[in-house]
Amino acid sequence: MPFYRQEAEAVLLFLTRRTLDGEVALELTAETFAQAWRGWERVRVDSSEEMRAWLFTIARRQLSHYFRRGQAQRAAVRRLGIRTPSVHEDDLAAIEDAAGLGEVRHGLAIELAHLSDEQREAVQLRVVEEMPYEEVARRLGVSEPAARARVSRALRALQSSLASASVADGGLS
Amino acid sequence: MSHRFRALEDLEAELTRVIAARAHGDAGRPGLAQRLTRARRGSRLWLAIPGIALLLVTTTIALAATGVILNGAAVSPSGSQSPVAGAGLPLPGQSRLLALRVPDPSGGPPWGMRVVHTTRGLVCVQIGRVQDGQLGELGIDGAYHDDGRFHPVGPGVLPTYAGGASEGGVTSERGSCVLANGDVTGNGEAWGSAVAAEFGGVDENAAFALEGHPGTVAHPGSPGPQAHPGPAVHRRDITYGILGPHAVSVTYREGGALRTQQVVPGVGAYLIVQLASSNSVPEGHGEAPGTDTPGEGPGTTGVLTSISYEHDGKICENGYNARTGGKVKIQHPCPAPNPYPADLRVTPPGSFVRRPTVALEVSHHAVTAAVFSFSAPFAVTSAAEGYSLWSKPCRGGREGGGVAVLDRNVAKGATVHLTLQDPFSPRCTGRSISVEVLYQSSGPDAKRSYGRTPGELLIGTATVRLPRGDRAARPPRPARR
Repeated sequence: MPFYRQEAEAVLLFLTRRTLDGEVALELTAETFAQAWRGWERVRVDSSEEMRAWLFTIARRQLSHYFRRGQAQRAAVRRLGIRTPSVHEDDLAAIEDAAGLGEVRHGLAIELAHLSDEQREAVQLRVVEEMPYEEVARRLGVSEPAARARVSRALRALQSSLASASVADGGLS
Repeated sequence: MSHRFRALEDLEAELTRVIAARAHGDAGRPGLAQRLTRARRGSRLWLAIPGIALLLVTTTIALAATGVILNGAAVSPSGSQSPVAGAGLPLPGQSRLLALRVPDPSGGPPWGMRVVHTTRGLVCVQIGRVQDGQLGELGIDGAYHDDGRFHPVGPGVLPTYAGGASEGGVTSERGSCVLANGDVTGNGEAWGSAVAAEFGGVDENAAFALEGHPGTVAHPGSPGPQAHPGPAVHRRDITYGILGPHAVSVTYREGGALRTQQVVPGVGAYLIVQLASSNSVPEGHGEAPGTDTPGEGPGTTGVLTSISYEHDGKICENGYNARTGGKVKIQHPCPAPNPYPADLRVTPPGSFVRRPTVALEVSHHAVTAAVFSFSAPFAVTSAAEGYSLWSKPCRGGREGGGVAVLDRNVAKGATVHLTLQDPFSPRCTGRSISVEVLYQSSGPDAKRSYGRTPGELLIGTATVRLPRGDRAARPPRPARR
């Protein structure tokens, strides 16, 4: 799968920078490539640039869905029977390091002040303190889906500031 | 070349495995008329009576060639149906076979669509072949003993609906159902209910009834389903939906060209039937990307490229470039669908809080189920309301956990029983589980608890301990890779 080998890392890092979460980004990456495979026959592209643009359009839609609904869309992954691999802790650290999340997280500290108290706490726990969602939910006294939804909405609110963060995106912001 | 991250290598291996397992195709099979004839010829009954067989085979050839097929037995609803459970029953006078007719690439009865309103507040959309004003399925490719007949599917044969106030609705083998009044965003009120679904790589016989084996059905009296996924040339990619009263047209890809179909006025129905693409595999039903929210544009991987709506007296459009997948510059883009309202009313904890009682079902010291009972603080009068129960998983969400959903109406104050199967997982080290009971609602009067997703009201919690001497019944699930 040369196309996957060529683009998978770029997609994963693109999504990691925007979700600030390597595990969520891997879920979105899996759905992106599953949808790309299903739609492959229907899209006419002449160049690798067009193909890449199409792929990232799918990735952006996954982001949009995630920010809107608080969870990754898994329609194509489910229908194809793909098991999204789990991420080893070391691998997760490497992904988030490659995505430059340390720098983004630093910038976030300033932007967090603009969020509501409940959103700030959710982002603080999940993104800054890197707690698993189960623990975030326990700390907030809400269900895990509710915690995920709160974090994703807070991140959507931060989206504009993230877009202006000085993180290279390979020209695909 | 290897990936820098192990997770991407694992994902590549998984994608390769799935694609290799599903990739297959075929060509050069006979046309529909011949297959209907062969199906009939293959029926053991007719083989036993050669004279009748010859007569009927000849008749079938003539009828199939003219597009008319003998009727077979009508499809019956599976299981017991109730006006207050599952999808409910069709409301009298509210089932409509739309005038929409779409020819099949191989001929035969055209495809059509039926819209059914049910007693539980659902709008269900069903598709199939149409003959004599009836929706139905064809007895070929393993369906109906290959009898070569047309089997009507009456409006009482509804899609399965497991229950719960699922705002996204459900698509199953008999079609798609959504809540008639839309979701908590108010999109339903603003734009009308929307269904967007597809059947990928299914057989042209329209007998989608057996999940996992598209194009086949379980015959009465047969030992089990017959798996005939069928060759690619006889499979179809079908995209359909209803987009609400504001929709005007849809544009879609067919071969290398773009085509536009005017939707059925009033409901915004569209139906596209195409030969399955070469990489389309039998995968059955599912949601179509993108258009599950009224007013939203299509996804980038489906067959649709744009949707036109009439909004405030003007035509607006949502879509993307079919060539590149990129967004197109639209002169009059439609307004975005409503997001969840941030100020959706929060219901503070009050008299509705319940403490459910729990009874464990134990067999040979293995706990097989936990039954939670509580009095309903709110009535459930349609599929837009419901109760559900969630147990928290362990090991980072990968093990344990379970859901039970009420699939029927209940009166306020009535006792609700929700059964959680295999409540304890042997892969979880803890000897107790935490359970939340939620009341879910949708539409303009949706309720929510503080910090909850709109529509979710927490009405009770419970902790269930594994009794000393008993164990979890659930067999270990394979760990995620």
